[in-house]
Amino acid sequence: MKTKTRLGAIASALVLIGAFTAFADGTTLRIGQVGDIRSLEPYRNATPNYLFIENLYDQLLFNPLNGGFEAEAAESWEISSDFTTVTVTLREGMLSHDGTPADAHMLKWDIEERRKGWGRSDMPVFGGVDATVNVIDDLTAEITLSQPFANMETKLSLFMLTDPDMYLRDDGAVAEFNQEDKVIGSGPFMLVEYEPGSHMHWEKFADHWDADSVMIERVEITFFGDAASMVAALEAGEIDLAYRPPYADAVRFLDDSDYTVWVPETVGLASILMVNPNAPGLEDKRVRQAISWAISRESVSNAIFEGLGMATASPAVPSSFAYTPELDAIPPQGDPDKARELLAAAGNPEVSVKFTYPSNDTSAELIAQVVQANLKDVGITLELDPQERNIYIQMRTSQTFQMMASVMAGSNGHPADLTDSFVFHPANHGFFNDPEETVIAEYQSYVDNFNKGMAATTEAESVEAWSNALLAINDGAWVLFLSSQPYISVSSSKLKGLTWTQHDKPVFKYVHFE
Amino acid sequence: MRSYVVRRLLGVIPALFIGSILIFLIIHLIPGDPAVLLVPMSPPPTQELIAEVRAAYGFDKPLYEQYLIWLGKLLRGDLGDSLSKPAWTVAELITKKIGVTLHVTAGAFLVSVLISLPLGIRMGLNPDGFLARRVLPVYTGIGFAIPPFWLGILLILFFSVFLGILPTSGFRSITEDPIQSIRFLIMPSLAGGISGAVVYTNFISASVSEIARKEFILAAIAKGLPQRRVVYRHILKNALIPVVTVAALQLGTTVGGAVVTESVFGIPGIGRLLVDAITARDYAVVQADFMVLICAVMLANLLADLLYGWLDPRIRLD
Repeated sequence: MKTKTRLGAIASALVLIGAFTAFADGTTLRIGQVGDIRSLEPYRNATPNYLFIENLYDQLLFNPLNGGFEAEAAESWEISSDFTTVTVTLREGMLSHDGTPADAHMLKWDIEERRKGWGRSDMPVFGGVDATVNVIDDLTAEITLSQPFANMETKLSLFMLTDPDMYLRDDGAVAEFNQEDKVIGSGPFMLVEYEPGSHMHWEKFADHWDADSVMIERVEITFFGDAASMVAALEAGEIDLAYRPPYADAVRFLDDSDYTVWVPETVGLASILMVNPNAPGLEDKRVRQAISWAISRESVSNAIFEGLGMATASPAVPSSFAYTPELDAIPPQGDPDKARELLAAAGNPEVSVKFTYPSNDTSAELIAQVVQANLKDVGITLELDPQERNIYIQMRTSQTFQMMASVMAGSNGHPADLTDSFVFHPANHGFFNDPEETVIAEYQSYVDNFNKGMAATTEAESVEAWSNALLAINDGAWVLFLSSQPYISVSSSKLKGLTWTQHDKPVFKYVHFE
Repeated sequence: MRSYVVRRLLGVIPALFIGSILIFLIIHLIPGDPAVLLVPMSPPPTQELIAEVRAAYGFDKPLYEQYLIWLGKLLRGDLGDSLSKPAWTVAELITKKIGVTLHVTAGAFLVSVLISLPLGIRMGLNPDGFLARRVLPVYTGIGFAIPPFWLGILLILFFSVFLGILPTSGFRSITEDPIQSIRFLIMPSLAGGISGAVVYTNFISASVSEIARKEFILAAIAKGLPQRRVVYRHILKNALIPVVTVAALQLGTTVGGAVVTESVFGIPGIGRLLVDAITARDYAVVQADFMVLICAVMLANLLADLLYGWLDPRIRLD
């Protein structure tokens, strides 16, 4: 009897506990994310883990997955034939989250003033090119650049329209260096609560110009400390969407009808190797090329991305206008014989290279191991050099490495988007600090063709210049492309309408539940 | 008694001072430049910008000077601004999180006590019985061998994914919503409390076993006192004295264990804050967080000393 009573009490407790379990209410999108956002400064979060934050802002243009650009905050835009001026007409009656007009004056402030805040990212502005804004009327602004800029539309689609008041702290001081304590944009969702290290809650912005299209009322983002816990929360029905879970977990859900694995057809991140041409043994282009030919990109992609990545040596996706099959000359499984030929041509030097990667990055460690085995086959010794992340970054910024694993935002649209990456950013001079462009001739060729492409006025000129720029990257072999890393998410199969932009922003406003 | 407390509190000062030096040195001697983690990466940061950030945060100053500046602020009650979350002061972040960690620590301690007390007494009163001779070694081995992290994941899989009765992660304050709070705390408390329970069980069992053989206990039994009274009034009160010492020491482990349990169960406490701060090289938060943990452990030790006096009148606190 006593045992029965105890069992009864336990069963009742379990039923009582279970009765309080949370379920989806159909109007709230509950997202799981590993780790907190970096800050409320929007462009500090313009990295893979945090692109969802762009839903708090309107971008000037929308770049859908199937290509091209559509009106968003900008109802229309006109680019001059010399790629130095764009005239933008904003939507009428657009409001910021604080109820003030989101107009051309705000755009001018965003482009000319916002970047001046100490430590603020330069990202919204055109790749470091100086830009000035002439406000023609409340809705129209003319943006003039100091030099031609071919991928202007991409930049407009990355631009987050923010209100100047966002940079005033609650205590009245001007926020500097990630001190922002609020978000005031014009996006379809507005921030209502942010608890660092815990969660972020958004609500639908009722006065948004496209509010009728927004199908959910609320977004709740939970910051998990651990990926396994996030996946468990998805399986327990506590979140609707696990944002960027480990690839091994995502694969597990592929054949499960209760879940949807979202694999946006974009490059996402590109896994790359940086081969420093200033490092001893790597000065000879043929050695760098031999390294590239020896690597089995297929093995890298299968081992790390569970087959969900795309093994390719090309810096551009096949759908790019600048793509040419020559960019994929290296087969996915590599070609050790060709690598040996190149080394023989270089005089069979004894090459021993240090391969640096962040010690807490398991993907980079796997890449290092695969590459080490591949290079051993052709007689190149690779010494693995895991480093603390900040030392790794320090080595990267000071160019004091020989070979390094890294990732860069994939170029989904225009090849000039590559300049957003630190590897190809003009300020970095080819990451190996070559301001005179004398270290390797191919870098000079890349820069020349890049400039030609930026100023090209005909389609034929543009295609030729950009294809040559990409071929120069592969020929110089100072950056080796290995595989794409798509931004995978897993959701309950009841969640519908999730889409991505070409630059991998998950768009929440069309999300709804079955 | 009051003078004892005052003297003990004064005695804490040198320990805190030494602790502050150790914490400061350990975090600052980790190789690498924290400034590179603070600058925006796009466009690529120039060496000048990195140097500017280094200077702005005083990382370019000699280590002893940085320590003295930090100590000076600490003495004035200013814990500084968070480096990784500059919109918040360290004090604001810690104040928000400390209550959360108290919930988790209290839950883990409660689980330890609820498991260890009945088990330890039973094993101690019957040291040659099946429980003490066969179960205790296995229970001890497993309890010590299972890492809280792994146990946490197992609990989540069983209670949340398989049974679907407990939330996998999150937190509610006990004052805000007691039932939800308990639901959120059950698994973290179990994961954090099991290893403590093993320690306490062993100590209680040994201590009870020793006290139960003392002459005054035999006298009490001979006098015909009821067994319950002998056990709780005479054996347990005496047996708990060494256990209190262990509990005070174990509290440090429990608080330290919060780092793991808070990460696994997505609990926004100071353990999780510490992990995030170490990753981001947020010196100000790491230093303050550790100082809070040191204070908590010292306070627990003081509490243990005061409890001695209550448990054993022979111990005079003066």
